[in-house]
Amino acid sequence: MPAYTILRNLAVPKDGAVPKSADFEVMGAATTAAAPPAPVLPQPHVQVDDLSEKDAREAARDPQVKGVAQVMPVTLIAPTDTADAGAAAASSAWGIEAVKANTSPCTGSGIVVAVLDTGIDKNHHAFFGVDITEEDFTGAGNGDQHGHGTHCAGTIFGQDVSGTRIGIARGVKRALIGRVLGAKGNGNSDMIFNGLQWAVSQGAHVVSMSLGFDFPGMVESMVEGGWPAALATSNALEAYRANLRMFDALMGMIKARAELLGSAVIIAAAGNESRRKADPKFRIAASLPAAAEDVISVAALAKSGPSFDIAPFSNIFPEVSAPGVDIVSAKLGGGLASMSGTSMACPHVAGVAALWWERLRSTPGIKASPKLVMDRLRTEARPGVLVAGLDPSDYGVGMVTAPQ
Amino acid sequence: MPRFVVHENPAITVGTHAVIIGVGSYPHLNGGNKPLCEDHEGLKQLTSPPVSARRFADWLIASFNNPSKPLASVALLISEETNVVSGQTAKYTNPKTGAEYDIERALIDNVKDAVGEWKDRADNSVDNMTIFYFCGHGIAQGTDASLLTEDYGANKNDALEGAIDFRRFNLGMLRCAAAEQCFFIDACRASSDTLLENRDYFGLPLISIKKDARRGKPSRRGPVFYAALAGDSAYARPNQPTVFTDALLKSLNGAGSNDQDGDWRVETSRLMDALDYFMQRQLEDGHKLVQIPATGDASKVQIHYVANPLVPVEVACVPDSETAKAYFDCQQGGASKGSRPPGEPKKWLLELSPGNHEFIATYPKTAFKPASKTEFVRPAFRRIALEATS
Repeated sequence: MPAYTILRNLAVPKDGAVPKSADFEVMGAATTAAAPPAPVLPQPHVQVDDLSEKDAREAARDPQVKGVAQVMPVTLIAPTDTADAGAAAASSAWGIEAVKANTSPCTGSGIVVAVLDTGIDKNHHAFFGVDITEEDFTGAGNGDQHGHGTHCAGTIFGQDVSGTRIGIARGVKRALIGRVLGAKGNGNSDMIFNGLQWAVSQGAHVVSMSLGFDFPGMVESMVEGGWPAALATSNALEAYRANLRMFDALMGMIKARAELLGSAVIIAAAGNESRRKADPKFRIAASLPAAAEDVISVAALAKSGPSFDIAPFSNIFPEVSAPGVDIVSAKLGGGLASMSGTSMACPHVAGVAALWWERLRSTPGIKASPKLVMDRLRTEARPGVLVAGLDPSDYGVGMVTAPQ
Repeated sequence: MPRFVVHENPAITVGTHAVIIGVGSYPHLNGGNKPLCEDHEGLKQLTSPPVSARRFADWLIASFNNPSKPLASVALLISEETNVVSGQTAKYTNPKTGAEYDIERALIDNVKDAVGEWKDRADNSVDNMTIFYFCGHGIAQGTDASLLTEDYGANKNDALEGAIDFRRFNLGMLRCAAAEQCFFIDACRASSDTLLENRDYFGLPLISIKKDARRGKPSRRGPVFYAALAGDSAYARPNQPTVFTDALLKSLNGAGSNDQDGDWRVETSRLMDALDYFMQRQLEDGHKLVQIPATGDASKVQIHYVANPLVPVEVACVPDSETAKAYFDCQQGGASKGSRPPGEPKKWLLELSPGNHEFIATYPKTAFKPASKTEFVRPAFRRIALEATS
């Protein structure tokens, strides 16, 4: 039987009745004195069960259940290019200046950042002084055997390495590292749902996810298992749609909780499947989780003289864009490495979001919220620094910009 | 001792006279031991009003302090299971003298007698103050309210024969010489079909309205405190003081006081702030009830003098999510006034005397910097926010 992810809202009683208030006496006509109900906060809970298709449909009828979706493979958004930057990294990472983090008075102080990825090499010099909480959702244990998560974390909050600045928000002193991808960069959709729920419940202000749902991988695996290609594609498509609905449901619950408890800005890489160099029309749309509602999706930019150009691999329909080619950051085991991909652009936006959180929280009269931070990311983005002739479907609203 | 009175100081010729009515048992309403009346409107038996009335009487007798209008008398009527269903005599022990009194039931005739005698006791001087406290079922139409006595519905053809028409009673009290009259109405004000159908009939006024009742007397200051907004419900936890009375007693202990005259006096405008604060604090804890106190006449009266007011203070971190990690400390002049170790996610609640206090948050297990603030604490309440920053 296939594995299904089930998303529940534990705030809803199993019988679907509206929760009653504490046992109070009413000193008058109860029928005409209904008080407006106070909001009931959703309590998202994710579990995985092996179910038949019939049982999955039955589970969906439970009033508590807000989504049932077949478990899908998830993979990191693989860098298109990786190089040891030990010798080449005499200057700071170029993305720091491109998003104007170098001139921002904000550092991300007081902000909690979560990275859902392959884990972290927390002994790396770049993370000295950062209070790091690790949680493994893969079953493989904490730490990073891949290097992708370490690189992404370095771009968000890494301290300078041998005089090279790599971190956008160097004032971040608390990080939540959810390991949702294994040593080979693979995982399952339930790990993402659990990781996201964990990060938000732990008080993350920003969640960065440089990963995507692996639709082709699911089809390939089913075909290898003897499924006809058409049937495998249809099945994978249905699983993708169900996961999209589940992501939207989970984001809806997180958003509802944010009204009272505060919540996080969720940022995801758009993906690297486009091939503009081979064919300018070969542009692939952003996948999950970047395509989900209320997730900021990120395209990658490359340097192009004094301007910036869209990276040839960057998927379309992002909301914002950020540096994603030849990005120098922390290397697994120590030192620096250069990587390219929307995976590298995503942590730039996460870092800038941390700076905006700090700015908004310290502005008198403003109650900082994920919505306000997302608004700043969008409204302060600069399309004018990009090369002429690009389509907004490539870059969204432009290069994200740190508060000045 | 006069009928209904459970505390009296005959030596006081000018002072404060109180009448307290708590009705929990209604034989003709749902769950009662007599035939259910047609106009029951879904109303049930209550356990909180007798508790609330006793607590208010206790507070008046043991704690009330007004040098210019000392406590002269307290009358108490209660209908509860003991004296309504079980057929026994309800008792009340005076907290000051230890004397035990038989309490009469809050039947409309008893209420009428008790209120008339109370009004007469306060009629000897314009310098008197009166306090009227009712806790029980209430029904309303707009701002008009009926306060239901034990025998509401006893006359099946005229249920409101067992009810007080509060608006007319309040106007009737203009006859009373006392120039300061406080009314505390702890009951629902939800709309009633019975009152809607009866239009201008809300029950008995107890004291009828008289034209030019204040001629030759000073104007009356008659603040009215309702437990709920017009049209809304009032609530109580079973066998505990109601939400309103609990807040009232806490407010009278200092949060409702002001020091404009040099000492701390509970006065009506500040009392409203304190009531609202305590009621919202009681109801914010995870359930869905809303109850907002209201006033019908906000004229200023200084009710009670407080030697050492206790001010409710809330301390929390910004952002709230860090509150559980903080070790809180409060100091005044180098002396600790309290502390709380980490682990509790809710706000730190404490009660402090007015004055400058230093509030400190340290974070033993995180990299946050210690935060401190010196704030002047004064009634009605104070909220302290300490930044959690790296």
